[in-house]
Amino acid sequence: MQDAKPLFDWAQENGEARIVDRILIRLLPEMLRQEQRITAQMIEEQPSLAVSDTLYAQLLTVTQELVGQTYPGASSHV
Amino acid sequence: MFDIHRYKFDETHNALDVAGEAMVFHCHHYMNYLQRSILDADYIDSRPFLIGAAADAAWYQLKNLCAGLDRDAARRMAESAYKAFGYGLIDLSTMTEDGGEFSTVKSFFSRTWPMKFGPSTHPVDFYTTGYLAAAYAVLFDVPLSEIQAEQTHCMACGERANVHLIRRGAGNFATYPAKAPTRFKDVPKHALNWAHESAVTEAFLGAHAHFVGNEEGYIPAFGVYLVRVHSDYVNRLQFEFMRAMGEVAGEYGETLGRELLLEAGHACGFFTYGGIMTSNEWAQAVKPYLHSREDWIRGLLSLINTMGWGYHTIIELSPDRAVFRNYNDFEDLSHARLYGPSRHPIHWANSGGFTGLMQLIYNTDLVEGQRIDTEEGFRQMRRAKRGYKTRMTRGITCGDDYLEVEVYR
Repeated sequence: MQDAKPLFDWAQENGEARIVDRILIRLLPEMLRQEQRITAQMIEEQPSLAVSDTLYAQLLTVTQELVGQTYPGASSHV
Repeated sequence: MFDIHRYKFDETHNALDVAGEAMVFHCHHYMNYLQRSILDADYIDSRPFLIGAAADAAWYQLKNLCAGLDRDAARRMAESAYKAFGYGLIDLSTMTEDGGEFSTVKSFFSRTWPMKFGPSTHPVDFYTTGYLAAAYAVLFDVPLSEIQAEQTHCMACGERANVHLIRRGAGNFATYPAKAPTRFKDVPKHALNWAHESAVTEAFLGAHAHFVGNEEGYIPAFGVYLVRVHSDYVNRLQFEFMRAMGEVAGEYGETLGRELLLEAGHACGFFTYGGIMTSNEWAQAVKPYLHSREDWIRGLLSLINTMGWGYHTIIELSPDRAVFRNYNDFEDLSHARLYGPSRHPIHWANSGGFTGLMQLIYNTDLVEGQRIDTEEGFRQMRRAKRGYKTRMTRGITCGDDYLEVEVYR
């Protein structure tokens, strides 16, 4: 399991408004498969968000694609 | 040919009907954000409704606009309406009973998508594909369900021109049942209660008619590109998107979709309202009446009440919390025509627009003259201070007499 909270925080700091919702929309089918129901409100309110390694890898790929930058914490997480 | 001046603005309901279709303005920020949000969910088969929503609304209108005209005059009517509404230019002179191939280098969607997002990897002018299908249906009396329509080339992808194919065959886009007539809610309105409301509203009444496509078929105004859209086209996109998100993931899917629809309205409020409030017209006709940040909001609502979106008013207003109403808002009326009642409020564009307005007035120095009309300005503003939240509390489709929304932080 990995904590996706820092990744989402980074996306919010570097991406467009509501970038988190775009990430979640893009990965909706995968989140359903893994029975995850992450929302922007959860990301805002919870101190950490544990997700599987598989989902984290997909979140990382989509987040970097949508933000258009490499996540600086990528190497320490995957 | 098409002449917007033939259609009188309905001052009672703050609405504009053109040949049977409610028409509203949207900006390129809103239209592209909405469309990209839909396309982001690539597990939804959205192409059929992206084209079908346009074809359906345009078909209703073109049927009325072209009634009694011979085929050549009807072609020119369809071309001129498309241009007047700000979608660009189309040439229907080669359309035959077999359909045809239609190329254009003037397209609102293909021009403005790259301006906002950069190049696209897929064609983006679904509207024009639908409009061409509707024109073909009207000109040659073909049911929409028997038309194949597609865009094969797109300038947003770096190609030289847009190309659309129209031919007769098994339909490849969504068609819809007949819609209900507009039913306005004629209830007493809570007035804006601002001494200068009528002065501002009267100054801009009829101004909408100035917003018609130029020689390129575009409507550049207030720092954005406007389009005069069929309300039922653009709102069906929202409704069909939310329906599909609900089908994929139930309430969770609707929650995610709702945030992006609100954001589309938010961007529209930020860029278009911001553009209006930094325009020469605003400086001359509205600014002399403004003595507080709250006045800027009252002035803006007095002005936009002439644009066909309904009657906007204020119930409560402070920097931390506002309650807005819209009587006969275009989203609820559209939902009632197309789908009937709703279990929850559906006025995302209106509500996002109100939130964008609060951001502009209280989270920027716009009232001090600062221009913040860039994408980076928008991002910085959203990051810089505590943002506003939006709670949609009432809607006509839920059985209420008006739209009501709370914006707070």
